[in-house]
Amino acid sequence: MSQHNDPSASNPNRPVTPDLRVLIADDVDVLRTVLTELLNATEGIEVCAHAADGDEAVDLALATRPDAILMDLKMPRKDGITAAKEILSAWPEAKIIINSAFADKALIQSALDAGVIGYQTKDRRPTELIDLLLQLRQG
Amino acid sequence: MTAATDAAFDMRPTHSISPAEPGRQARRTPSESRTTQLIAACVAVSVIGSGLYYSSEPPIAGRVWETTIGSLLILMMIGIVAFQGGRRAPWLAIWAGLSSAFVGGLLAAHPALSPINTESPSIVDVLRLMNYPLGALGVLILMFRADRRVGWRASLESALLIGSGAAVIWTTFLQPLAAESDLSTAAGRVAVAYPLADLLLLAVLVVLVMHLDNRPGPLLLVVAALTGNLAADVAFGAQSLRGEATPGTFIDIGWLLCFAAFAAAPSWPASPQTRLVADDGRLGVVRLSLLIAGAILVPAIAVAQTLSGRSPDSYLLVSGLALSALALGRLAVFNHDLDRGRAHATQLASDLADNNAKLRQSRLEQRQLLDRVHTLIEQERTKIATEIHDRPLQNLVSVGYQLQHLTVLLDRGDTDAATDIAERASTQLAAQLGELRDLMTDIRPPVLDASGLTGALADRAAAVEADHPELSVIVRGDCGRLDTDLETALYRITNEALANVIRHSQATTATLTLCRNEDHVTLTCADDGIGFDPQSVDGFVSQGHFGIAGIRERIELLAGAVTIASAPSGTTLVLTAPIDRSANANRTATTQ
Repeated sequence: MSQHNDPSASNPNRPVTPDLRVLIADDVDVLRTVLTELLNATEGIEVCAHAADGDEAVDLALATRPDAILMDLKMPRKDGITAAKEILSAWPEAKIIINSAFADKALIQSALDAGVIGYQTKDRRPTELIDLLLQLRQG
Repeated sequence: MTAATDAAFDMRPTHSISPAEPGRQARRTPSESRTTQLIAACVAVSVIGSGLYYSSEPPIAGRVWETTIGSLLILMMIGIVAFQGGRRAPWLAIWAGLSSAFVGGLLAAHPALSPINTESPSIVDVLRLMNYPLGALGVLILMFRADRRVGWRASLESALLIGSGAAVIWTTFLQPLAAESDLSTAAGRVAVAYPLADLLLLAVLVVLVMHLDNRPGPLLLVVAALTGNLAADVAFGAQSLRGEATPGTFIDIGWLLCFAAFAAAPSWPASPQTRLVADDGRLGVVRLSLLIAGAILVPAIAVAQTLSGRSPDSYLLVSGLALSALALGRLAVFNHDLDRGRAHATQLASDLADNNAKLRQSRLEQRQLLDRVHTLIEQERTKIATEIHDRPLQNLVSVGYQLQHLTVLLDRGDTDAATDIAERASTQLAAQLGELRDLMTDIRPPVLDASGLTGALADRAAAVEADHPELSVIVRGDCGRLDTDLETALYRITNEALANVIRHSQATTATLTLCRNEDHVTLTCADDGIGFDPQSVDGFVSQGHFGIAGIRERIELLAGAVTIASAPSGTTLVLTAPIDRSANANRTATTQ
């Protein structure tokens, strides 16, 4: 049931791992809001910024240097893959996860070729996304 | 004898014997029963008459003959009046010739009737001989009225046949006899006149037969009878010249046959296939043989005469020259016809090539149209996919996230926050269902199928007013139910028109008026906006909107039309379409 308990919480001797700082980039307002609330409510994750288009995503990513970036693909002004490439070229250690409604292999491949570390489709259960993020948190 | 031309030659304008009279309405076609009755009457009269004639003695036989022939003439006149509406003139000429011969016969039998001496040669012969030119005239008129070109050509050939035939008969039969007897007597001349007159009419008839593509009974019967008469008259003439003339009763049966056939001819039932055939580039074996024979026959006779030691008659040489010239003239005319035929064929070939090019062009256009339709379909689908991706899908994902959030809160036991999230998710779901329903309506409004165009437009008007409060949309009139295709197309077009009003016109009121009459439905969309230039075309499709050109094309596919009037005070679109598209199928084809 509680899959998201922070293992460090039960052991007072272990050092506390800081929350994963996440940047959410998605052009749909309602989705961005709800996802932010969800991630904030999740133990171990904290949303530090959100962007509504590709340009904003690049700017905020490079400015706030989050631990993980959740990037939508279809956004105005600049799409997700282009933004990802830009971020990675300026900051190669960036950890970008594509969170998209589209699931075709070509897109996935081009995203992975661009250097993203994960591709999540929106029709999967949210727990998968959260697990992925928590794994990042562990290292 | 007169031409027993088939009574009801084909009425069609192309070379038919019967003249085409433009002013006349459809001629009375002879009813089967009446024609049969008349023909049966002719046959009966002939059979009974000939039976009585040959079984009775001279005085009575003569009366029988006169009665029979007289009855046949009356039957012929009935047939002419009843069945030969616009062709009476030639038939009356033929009838007049026959009657003249009949009267001559009467006078010969009853000398007391005539004030003039009836001994041959006399008025009797004149009356009898009048038959032939009148008959030939009648036939020629029939042919000329049917087709002047055929008439002239047939006349040339007839002249050739008559000329060479006469020369042959004269040279081979009659001249030797004339040499032995005195041709200066009128009797001698008359004896020669009959065969020549027979020949005149026979030649005209033979040429007519050659030009018909279907040989009717009476005509062939007359030709046969006339040939018999010609032979008999030649024999009779020979006897006359030798002074041995006796009225031969076997000749009479030939006359009777001719009279009977002519009497029945005007009543002969319509033979739709019978028509004159013009030269079509082929001269045919028979005609060609006749032409050649006509050209060389008389010179051949002259040569034969020379070889046998006699010097050829000068008139024979002259007539031979004339006939050769005539034959060559006919060939020249034939050549001219051939050229015309070739030119016509070339023209036909060029027309065919043009038509083929047009056909290819229209097939190309058809393919292009189909391509456009497919493009449109794909664009529609893209539009729908995009809409689904943009809103419903994202909203449902959001609800998924909220449910997950709910789980986290419940784990923690934060029921208040959980309730809050649950409510928001529920609201969002409800909103999303509404949007999905709108999308579905946009794709195909159920009200269109349920209550038709009027109801769908009323709904649409309300929806537009809700989205754009500054615009008031009024729907007036009713058009009842129409074909699904028609309702859908009009609905889409109206939506497009309304979209234009919303996008460009800055109008405050738009009025949709529906009107239906017997076979057309009219939809008017009028707004009070700033107007636009109807000449400027939006392009076929952009972002799923198809613009003015698209409206026009769409309404034309329904065999309808659109008129657009626009001024700075407002724009009015008037769409009309037939209710039954199949009734105007041809219009669609020619609208291209």
